[in-house]
Amino acid sequence: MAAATDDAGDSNEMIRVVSSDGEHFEMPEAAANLSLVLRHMIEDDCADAAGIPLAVVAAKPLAKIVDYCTKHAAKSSGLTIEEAEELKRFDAEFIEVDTDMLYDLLVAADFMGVEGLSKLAVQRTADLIKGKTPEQNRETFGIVNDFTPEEEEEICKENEWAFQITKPPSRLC
Amino acid sequence: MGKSISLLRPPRESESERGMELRKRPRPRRADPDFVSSPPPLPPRKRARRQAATPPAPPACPPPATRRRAARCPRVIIRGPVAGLQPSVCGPCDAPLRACRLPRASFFARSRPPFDWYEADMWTEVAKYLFGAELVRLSSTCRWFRRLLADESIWRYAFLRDLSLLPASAGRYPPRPLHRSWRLLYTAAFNGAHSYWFRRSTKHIGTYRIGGFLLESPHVLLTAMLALPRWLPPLEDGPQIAIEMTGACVLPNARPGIWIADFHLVKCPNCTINKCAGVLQVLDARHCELFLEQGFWNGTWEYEDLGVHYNDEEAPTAACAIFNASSRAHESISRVLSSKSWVRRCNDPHPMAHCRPHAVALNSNLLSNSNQGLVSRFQAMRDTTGNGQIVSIRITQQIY
Repeated sequence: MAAATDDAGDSNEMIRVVSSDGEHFEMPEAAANLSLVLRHMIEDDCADAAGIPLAVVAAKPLAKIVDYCTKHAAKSSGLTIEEAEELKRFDAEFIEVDTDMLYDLLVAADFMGVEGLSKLAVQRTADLIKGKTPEQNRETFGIVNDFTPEEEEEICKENEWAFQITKPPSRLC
Repeated sequence: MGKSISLLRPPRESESERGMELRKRPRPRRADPDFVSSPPPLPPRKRARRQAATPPAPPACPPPATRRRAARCPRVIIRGPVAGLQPSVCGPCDAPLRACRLPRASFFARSRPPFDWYEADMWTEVAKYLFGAELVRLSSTCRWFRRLLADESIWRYAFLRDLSLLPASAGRYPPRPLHRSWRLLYTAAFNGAHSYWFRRSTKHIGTYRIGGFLLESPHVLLTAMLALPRWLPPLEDGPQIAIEMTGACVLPNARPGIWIADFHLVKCPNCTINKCAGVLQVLDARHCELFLEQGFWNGTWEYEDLGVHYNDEEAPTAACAIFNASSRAHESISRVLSSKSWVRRCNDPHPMAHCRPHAVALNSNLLSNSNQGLVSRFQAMRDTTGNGQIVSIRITQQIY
């Protein structure tokens, strides 16, 4: 019974959110429900015409997140195999962003409690690290090397294996 | 005494009322413990702020402490996941109630320099997706990562994940071996070393990882088939008789803990028989600490023969298994023994292994049906310099 009324509410109600730099966005309630924070705000009747302010999230990542939630909410229940495939393709395209945007998405998704997006962004970050040397990692993420040459040598010596092996041992299961 | 208090009270009361109005500055500790109308001296600063934040929607909160602070605050409305659930903006001045106090708020508000991904939780999450070598390479980019990725819980997760031993619930992690860090254990398990590295390496063809399993009790059952023996001679007769008669034996003194199972292909050491395919399959299991032991690397500990089982009948498969004979292993054992669920089809000669939390098994289909049987050799390595526990087991199978 409760579920039925929820569904009825989902279809027509739009939730307004405001980014940290004051831009307004709209998304269906079902999409907003993917975010833990927004869901709690809606449950507490804090979603009004003025919109829910999200101080940590700037307009650019928020636009992406609204995009993500809308897509995923529309396809949340009763997925066929093709639809699941399409959603996967959407995710793969969606997360093809530069590191700055990826960082914004990570922080925003974490803040808003969008679990699927958090996972996606974390996986993407891990993929960026895989198979790279420390120098390449520094380049990707703009990390400043603050080791002394002696320390670096010591680390290399200590962990020689990690610089020779690039992938986990092949499995037989 | 009472009189003097009553005389003193009026001026103090008015002072406290002014204090209630502002409620921002920390109060000096009151000398008179009987003075009950004032709030407790230490907590008021924070508590006052929080109380002010609780009323919903445009909150009627007290005026800000100082104009100076209000002017300095960035216009942040919600910060942090906790504050996000309650409106925390100060009505009159639009300044956040908490944001200006906490370093994180300013972290979010200021424009980012090229790299400030220094979010420990986030990177811990990312670390869950990385193989150990990648963790090491990431940790050698800078000091911050080196400190973060030295965390034991990260290495424990990686170790158990890569051995397929992650428990369903976080509370049920297998116990850590004493005196060993998970990072060292990970290195020993995944740095590419295997037990043929240093003996008879020319005979070694290839190695594959099967996974990890747990020995909760020191009793291990070794078999050269995917079935439990119907009968075993008493333990006192020793493993040799049991192996010869039944192709299985129980060892009562294996070292409990996490074991790692590998599959090796080895050239037949003394291949004089025509039918011999020239290649042996080896199920090799070792305690996860074996490669951290001096006794292994200096050659003091050796593999000793436990016994050899000859199966004279034509064998369609070469299979072997190692089980923990503990009471909690029932499910693992029955899953491994229901071999139809995991062995390959009978025309597929590739070996297949199956690993459950308390058992491991290996199966290869033999294509040439003209073989005259199967020889299974059981070997074990004992901790001869310590308490004599078994730290490694090998089951080698060869087709005749």
